[in-house]
Amino acid sequence: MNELKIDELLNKYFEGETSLDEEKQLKEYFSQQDIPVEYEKYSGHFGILLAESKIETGKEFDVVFSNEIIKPKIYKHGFIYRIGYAITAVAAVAAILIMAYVQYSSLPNKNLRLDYLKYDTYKDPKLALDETKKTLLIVSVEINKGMEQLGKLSKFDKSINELEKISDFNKYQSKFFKGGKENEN
Amino acid sequence: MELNEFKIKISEVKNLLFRFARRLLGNREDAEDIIQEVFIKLWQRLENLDEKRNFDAFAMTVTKNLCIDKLRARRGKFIELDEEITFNQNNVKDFEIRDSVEQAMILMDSLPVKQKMIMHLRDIEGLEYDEISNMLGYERNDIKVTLSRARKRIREQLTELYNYERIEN
Repeated sequence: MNELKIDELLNKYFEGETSLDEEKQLKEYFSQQDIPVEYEKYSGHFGILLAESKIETGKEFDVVFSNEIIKPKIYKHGFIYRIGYAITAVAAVAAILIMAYVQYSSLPNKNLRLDYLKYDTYKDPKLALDETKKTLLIVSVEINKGMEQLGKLSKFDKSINELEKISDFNKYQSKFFKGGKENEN
Repeated sequence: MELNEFKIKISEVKNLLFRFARRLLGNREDAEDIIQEVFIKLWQRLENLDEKRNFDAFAMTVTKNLCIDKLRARRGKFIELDEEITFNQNNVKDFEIRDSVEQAMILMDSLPVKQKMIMHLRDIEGLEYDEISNMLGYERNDIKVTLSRARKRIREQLTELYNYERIEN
């Protein structure tokens, strides 16, 4: 290939205008030994274009890949994969129930437990009625004590009523000033 | 597609994808790991793959995306595919001790990711513009423009290096 042709091809190449065939010619040209000095600077570039196209994966690549490729397919859709999820869910629910039972049965104060609801406390109905009356009486006395304390609230109500008079005063005051402004206009 | 058929398919594209990943990631180990991942992904999605769609193009798309994800993870931030890497006098001095093949390799590796991908597929793999367009998802014209930019850049830098070395000697 003469120099004129190489010059033309190189210019076309660096402008991005060459065809694949022309690019192949350039690679072949630069793969020979005797390159004129003015083109030496391009020899490295075309050299790597050829060399890099021959690089391949390592020998172990296919073995590793063959082993890897079978694994996920089996596990992802397999029976064990799906049953694993079900077992985990059942185990989680069982664990929650066991923990709740252990917590409940280990309560220190037996009164806090609800076992007594299962049994009658009094066998004689009259005795039960008397006991109930007694209990209600105690409750009513305690409530009345509380109500006495609430009586003090009426004083608070009175004070609030007094304060309402101030709001009346404000009403008249604003009416007065409004009237004053209207007179000015 | 059965396993054996799949293995034949991937043996046809294996080295093409590997070289592409190696160009982007810069080393053999990472490139092989990525390609293993690509093939596993392809195998898992095989049932959902459209038979008519070009297998090679789809494999390349997955490879490209995984490589870019890996580059982002390395840099810990978003990576701009057109990002320019400035070439200054300090680089030129470093180049003195290297031979012309090494210099050319470094220049190509320092191209922005998009230019590097396109230049690799055209100049090293010898693919047609339409094939590259199909594989990378860029318009044919965009590919031509990007390639010519990459080549001009390489030429400028080679000339700069050549002139620098001549002055030094």
